[in-house]
Amino acid sequence: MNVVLLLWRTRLRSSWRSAVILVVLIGLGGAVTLAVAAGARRTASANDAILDELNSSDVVTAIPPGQPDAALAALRSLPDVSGAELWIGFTGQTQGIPPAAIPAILGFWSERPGVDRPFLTSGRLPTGRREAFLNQGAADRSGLGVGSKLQLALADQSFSDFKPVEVEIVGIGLFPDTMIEDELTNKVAVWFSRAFTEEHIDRMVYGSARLTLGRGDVPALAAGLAAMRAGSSDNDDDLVIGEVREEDRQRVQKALRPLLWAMAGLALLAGVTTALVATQALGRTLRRRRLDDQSLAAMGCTTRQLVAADLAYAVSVVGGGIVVAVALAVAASPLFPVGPARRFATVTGVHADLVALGLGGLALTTTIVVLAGVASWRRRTRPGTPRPGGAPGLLGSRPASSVGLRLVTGRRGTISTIAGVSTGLAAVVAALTFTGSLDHLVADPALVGMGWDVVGREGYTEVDVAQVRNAVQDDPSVRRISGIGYLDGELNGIITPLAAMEPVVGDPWPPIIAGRAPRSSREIMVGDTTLRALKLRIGDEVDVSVAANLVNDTVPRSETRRFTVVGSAIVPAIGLAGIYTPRLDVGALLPAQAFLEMFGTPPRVDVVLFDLDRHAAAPALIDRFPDGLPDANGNGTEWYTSAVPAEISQAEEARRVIWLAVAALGLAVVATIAHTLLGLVRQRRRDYAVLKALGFTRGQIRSTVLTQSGAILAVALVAALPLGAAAGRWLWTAFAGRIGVIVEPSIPLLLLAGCVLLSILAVQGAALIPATIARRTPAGQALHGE
Amino acid sequence: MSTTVTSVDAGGTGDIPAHGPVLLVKGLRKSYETDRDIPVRALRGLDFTVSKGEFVAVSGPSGCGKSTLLNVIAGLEVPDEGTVRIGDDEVTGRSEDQLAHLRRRHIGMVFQFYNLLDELSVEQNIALPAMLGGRKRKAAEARARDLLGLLGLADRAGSSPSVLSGGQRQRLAIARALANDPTLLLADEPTGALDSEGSAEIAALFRRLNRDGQTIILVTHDPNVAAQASRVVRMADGAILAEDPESPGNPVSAPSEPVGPAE
Repeated sequence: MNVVLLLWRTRLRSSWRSAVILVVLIGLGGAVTLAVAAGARRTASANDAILDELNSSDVVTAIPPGQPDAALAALRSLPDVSGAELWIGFTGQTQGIPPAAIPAILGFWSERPGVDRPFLTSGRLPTGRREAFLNQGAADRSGLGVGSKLQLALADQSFSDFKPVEVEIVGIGLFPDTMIEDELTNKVAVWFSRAFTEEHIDRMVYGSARLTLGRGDVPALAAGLAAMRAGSSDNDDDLVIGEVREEDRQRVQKALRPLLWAMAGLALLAGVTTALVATQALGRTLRRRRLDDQSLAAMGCTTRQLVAADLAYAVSVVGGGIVVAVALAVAASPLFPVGPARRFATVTGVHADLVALGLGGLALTTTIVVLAGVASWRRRTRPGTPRPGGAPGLLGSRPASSVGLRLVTGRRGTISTIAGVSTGLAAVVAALTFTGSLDHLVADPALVGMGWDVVGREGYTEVDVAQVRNAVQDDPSVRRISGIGYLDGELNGIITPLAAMEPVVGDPWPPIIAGRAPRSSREIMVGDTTLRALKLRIGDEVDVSVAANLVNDTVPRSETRRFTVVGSAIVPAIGLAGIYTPRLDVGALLPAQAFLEMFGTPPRVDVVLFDLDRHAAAPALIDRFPDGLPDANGNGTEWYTSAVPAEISQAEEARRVIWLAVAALGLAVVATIAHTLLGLVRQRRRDYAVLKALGFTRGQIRSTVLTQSGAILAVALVAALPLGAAAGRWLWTAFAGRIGVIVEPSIPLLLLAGCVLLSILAVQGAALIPATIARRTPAGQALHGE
Repeated sequence: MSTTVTSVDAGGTGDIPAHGPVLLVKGLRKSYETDRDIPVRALRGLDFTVSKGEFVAVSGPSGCGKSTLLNVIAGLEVPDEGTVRIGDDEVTGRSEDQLAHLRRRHIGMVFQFYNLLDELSVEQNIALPAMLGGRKRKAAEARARDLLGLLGLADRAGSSPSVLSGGQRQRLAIARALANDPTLLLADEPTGALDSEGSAEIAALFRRLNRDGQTIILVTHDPNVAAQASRVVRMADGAILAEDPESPGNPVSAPSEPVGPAE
C-alpha cells in the first residue's frame, strides 16, 4: 500500500497541471449534470411544496347559500377535518379583463384564510368593504395592479338583476390551481373581503367549502358531511366532493412532464458526455506516464500496484472535480425550478438537493473511475500492437487524407472518442426529432383534439343550438358544428369529466386515437388515461350515470346505464373555466341522443365548435354573432380561434431546455473532438515530424488532422443519425401517448441537414487548432531519439 | 533567392553536376535556447562540401552538432547564419512549403529509431513518399515493391513495421528514403539501435548503395560503420575538427569561438 501511496503522490506531483485541467473539466461538466438533475427534481417537487406552503385544501364540497358561519362551524367540528374555510360564490361580469364571460367572483369568509391561502405577489389581502384581490393571470392580461380600480356587475341569484360595484385592487397573487393555465382554462378570479361579502351575502349563489383532511380519508369525510347535511333543512343537493388537491397536483405534474423529461434527458446526456470526455482525458494523462511505468515495472512494481496508483490518481482528480461540480450546482440552484412554479417565490433561492447531488456525484465518480481503471488494466495486461496498414492498395490517391485516416483508425481510444461523439450527436438528433414532432403537433391542432377552427364558449346560460344552426345555414364555408354539454358523471362509479356531443351540423366527434365514433346511443368514447384508469379496453362495457348538467346540480342523477366503449378519442381541452377542465386524455364523450333518452330533454350546450372550409376566415364567422351565441339571457361569448392546451404550451417551455441541451451537447461534441485531436497531435508529434521529413507541406499536415476530425465526425454521424432519429421518435411516441394526443413523430430533415452542416463546420473549425499545432511541430527536435 | 517550388521540382537531379559538389555548406551557425535562457551553439560557422557519389561519415561526441547539421541540410531546421546549397537549389531562405518540395526531390532521411509510420504497411511506408514525389499511386506502389525486393523485404510488404526486427525496420527506413531517388541520403546514427550483426548488415547496405552512385552523408559513433565511408569528417562543439587523411581535400573549419555554452 505504501508503494501505491508513493506512486499516487508522484503522479499527482508530476501531473498536477493535467490534474487541474481534469478537475476543471469534470467540475464544469459535472456542474451541468448535477445542477440540471437537481433542478429537475426541484421543478418536479415544487408544486407539492407550494401546496404544502399554502395549506392547499384536500377536498372541496359545496354548501348551500345562507348561514355561512353555521356551516363553517359544523365543518370544523367534523372529526376528519383538520382545517376548513369558506369561499362565498357570486356571479357577475368584470369589465376590462379578458375573458369577460365567466369570471370567478368570490368572497373570503375569513380575514386571514388558514386553508387555501393565496400567495401574494404584491399588496395584501382585502379587508375593507371596497377592496379586492385579483389573480395574477388576470392582472397580467389586463394590466391592472395594486391601486387599480375594478368595475364589475354582481348578478342576483336569478341572473336578472346586475348591481354595479367598484372596488380597489389591494393585492395580487396566485393560487396553486392557477399555476397551469392555458387559453381555455384561464380565468378572471376576484376575491373580496369578509366585509364586502357580508354586505352582499343576499347575492350569494353558492358556497365552496375548502377542507383539509386530518386523520380520516375521503369516504370518512363524506360520511360525516352526509350526516351533517341530513340534519339540515337545506339538503336537497347531491353531495359532491372534489378531491381538488390531488386533481390539481396531477394536472400540474402532467403539464410539467415534458419539461421534466427534457431536463432529465439533458442531465443524463451531460453526465454521459462528461464521463466519456473525462475518461478519455484521464486515460491520456495516465498514458503519458508510460515510460515512467516501464521503469517502475523494471524496478519491481507489479501491474496491480501501477493500476492501483492510476485508480488513486483518478479518484483524486474525479473527487476534486465532483466537489467543484457540487459547489457550482448549488450556486446555480437559484435558476431552478423552471416553469410556472417559479412564480411562487417560496420555492426559489439557493438550495442543496443532497439526494441528487450525492447520487449524481457518486454515479459520475464511479463511472469515470471504473472506466479509467478498466482502461489502465487493459493497457497493462493486453498491450496491443498497432494494426497493420491493411492491403497496400488502400493507400488513396491523396496522401494527406490517407495518412490522416490511418493515423485515426490505428489509434487506441478512437472507438471511445467516436462513442462519445456519437452519443452526443445522437442526443442532438433525438432532441431535434422531438422538437420537430412538437412543431408538427403545434402546427396541426387536430392532433391535439381541435378538429375545429372556432370555439365559442358560454358562461352560465345554455346556447340555443337551433338558432346557431339557422344563423349559419346559408354559409357554405361552415363544414360542421358540434355542441358540447358538460356533465357531471361517473364511469363504473368513478367521477369522470363527461361531455355530451351534440351534432348541430355534421359529425360531432373529435379526432379518434383508436376504435371508432359512437353510432348509437349506447356507445361511448373514452380518453386514453381514463380508459387505463378504469382498466377498460375498446369493446368493454361500462356503467355510466349522469347528472343533468354541470352548473346546476339540483337535477337528480340519472339511473345507471350501460354503454359499450367503441373508441378512444382526444377529449378537447375545453371546459368551463375554473369549474370543469377535461384534459386531452381524461374524460369521456357520449352522444347527445343518449342524454335525451336518459332525461327526456337534450343536453344543455355550453360550448359550440365550428369547423370551417380551409379558405374561410374565422373572424367572418364570429361577426355573424355580434351579440354572442344565441342564449336565453343574451350573455357574452368567449371566442377562440387558436387554443393551445397547457400540456403543449409547457412542452413549448421545454423547447428552451431542449435547445440548451442541443447547444451544450453540440459544444461537448466539438470540444471532445478538438480535445482528442489535441492529445492525438501531441501523442503523434514524432509522426508529424516524419511526415514533414518525407515532404508533407503545411497544407498537407493540416489536411491530415482535418481528415482525422472529419473521419471521427463522419463515423459518429453515420451511427448517430439513425440512432438519434429512432430515439427521438421513441421519446415522442412515449410523450405524446402519455399526454393523450395523436402520435405522429416527425423528423425535421432540413433542420437535421443544417445541423450536420453546422457540426461539420464547427468540428473542422475547432480542429484547426490541433492542425496548427501539428503544422508547427519542430521536426528536427521531434525526430531525435525514440 | 528567387527559386520557386516549381523550379525545384522541374530542375530535379538534372541540375546536379556529374562531378563537383552536390552539397555546399558555408558559414553555418545554429543556436538553441535552453530552459535557462542560455543559448547552446550547436553549429559554429561550419563549412562543408560533398561531391556527387561521395559517402561521407560524420562522427564526433554526443552534442557536437552532427544531427543539427543533418537537419539543417534537410531543411528541417533553419540556421541562424550561413547557406546550404544542394545542386543548384538554395536550401536556406525558403518557406516551409518550398522546403517540403525540396525534400521530396533531394533528400532521403534515415534515423536511429527508424521513425516508420506504424499505421501504414511496409509497402505503404515506401509508397507514401513516392507519391509525394509525384508518382501516381500505382507507380508509387510499383516503386515500393522494387525497393522492397532490392532490400530483401518483399515478403513483408503487407505487414506492419512494428512486427519487423530492428535490422528489417532500418532496411525499410532506407528503402523509404530511396523512394524518390534522392540527391542526398542523410542517415542519423542508422546503426545506433542495432546489434553488431545488424549494424554490419546496414553498413554494408550503405556501402552497396554508394557503389551504385548514391551520395550519402551518415552520422555515426561506430568506427566500423564510419570505416565504410569514403571520407570521414570529425566534429566537436559545432565545428569540423578534422578529416580522414585519405579523403579528398576538404577545408577544415576550426571553431571560431570558445567551446561551450555562450554566456
